[in-house]
Amino acid sequence: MNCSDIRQRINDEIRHDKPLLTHDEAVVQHIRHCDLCRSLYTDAVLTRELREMPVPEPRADFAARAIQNAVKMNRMKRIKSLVGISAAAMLILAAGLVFTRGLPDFAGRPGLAPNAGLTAPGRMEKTVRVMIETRQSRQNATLAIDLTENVALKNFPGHRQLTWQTELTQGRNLLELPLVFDDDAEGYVNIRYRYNGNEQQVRIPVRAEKEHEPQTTITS
Amino acid sequence: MKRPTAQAEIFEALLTPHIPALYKTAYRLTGSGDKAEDLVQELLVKLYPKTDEMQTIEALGPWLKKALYRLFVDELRKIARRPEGRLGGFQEEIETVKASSDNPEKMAEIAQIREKLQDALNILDPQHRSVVVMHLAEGYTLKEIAAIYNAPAETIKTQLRRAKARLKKYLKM
Ligand SMILES: [Zn+2]
Repeated sequence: MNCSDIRQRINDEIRHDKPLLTHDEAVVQHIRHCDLCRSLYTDAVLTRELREMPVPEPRADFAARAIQNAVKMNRMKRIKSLVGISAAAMLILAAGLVFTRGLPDFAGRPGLAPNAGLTAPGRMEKTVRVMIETRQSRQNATLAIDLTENVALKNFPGHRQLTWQTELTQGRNLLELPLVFDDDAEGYVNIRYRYNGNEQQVRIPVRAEKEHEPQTTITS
Repeated sequence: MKRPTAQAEIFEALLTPHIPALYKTAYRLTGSGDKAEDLVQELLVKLYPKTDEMQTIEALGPWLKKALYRLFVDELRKIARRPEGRLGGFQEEIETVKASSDNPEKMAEIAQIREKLQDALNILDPQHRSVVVMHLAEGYTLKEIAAIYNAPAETIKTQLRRAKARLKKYLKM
């Protein structure tokens, strides 16, 4: 058999989804010695197998969850762009696939200009949100928070430091930190995330300069 | 600007039917379910602000596929800029050589090829894997791939040739 006969057979086999490579002795003999036909043959097999390669299904609720997350993340981004938060609040965690985003919340009302607010006297409240995304669930992750003097966690007045153990589920984990500010305070929240000997930090600048309604919470 | 809730509803209606196909491609590209979900998720986050534009696109499926490829390519470039990204490449190279040197005389059965195909894809570096997936599995022409990568078609052709050679070696074809 010559090359053109062999190629005809190859095409037939591919077209009719016949088992390949080993059943047709004439083809096998030929491609053992003819590099070009062998290459065409294996190309054809590879292409067919790749096209038909089964792909496992995503988790059952993936589509709905992904859509929901996309909407949520964009709403948070919008808040971020309104506030003009520093790039330091964005952090790439381990392996570049896990990341944390910190976002002081300004309720995300459409049309709220970055400098539209007035400095309000007395105590101000604001929620800082941190999204921790993990590729796998993490048992016993440690979270630690350091606060500057003029900022406190709402339910922990007087505490400058807090450390606790938590479990993170696979995917996005939203951490909400309700903060109380002294007067027109400006400070930062330092958040440390530790897991398996690795530590990542993010420092989020926070300001109490804008008056706003009680928080519109974006929950996960 | 639409009401946020209305936009979310339109977005959901537009995108939901395409998610299975996007996931499938993402899985082929990334070689893992977790990474595939991450990639699709990242894509959706990027697409949400384009909800209005997407409503006007006639063939949304292919448009989304291209967006997915572009995102994957962008991610690759980010990884390539990190020093550890390079290291990964070398390790893959060594594994490939090992895997293909077991018994070069014997030709693999189709069932064996099937079984090892995903592993074979996974040992390719992501750039080569993406070219293979786009061209062989999804039927994009080299010219189309070159446009997505913003690279000369000749470069893509070379990458495809090397990737196929590696796959065949690994699969003992
Ligand atoms: Zn021949």
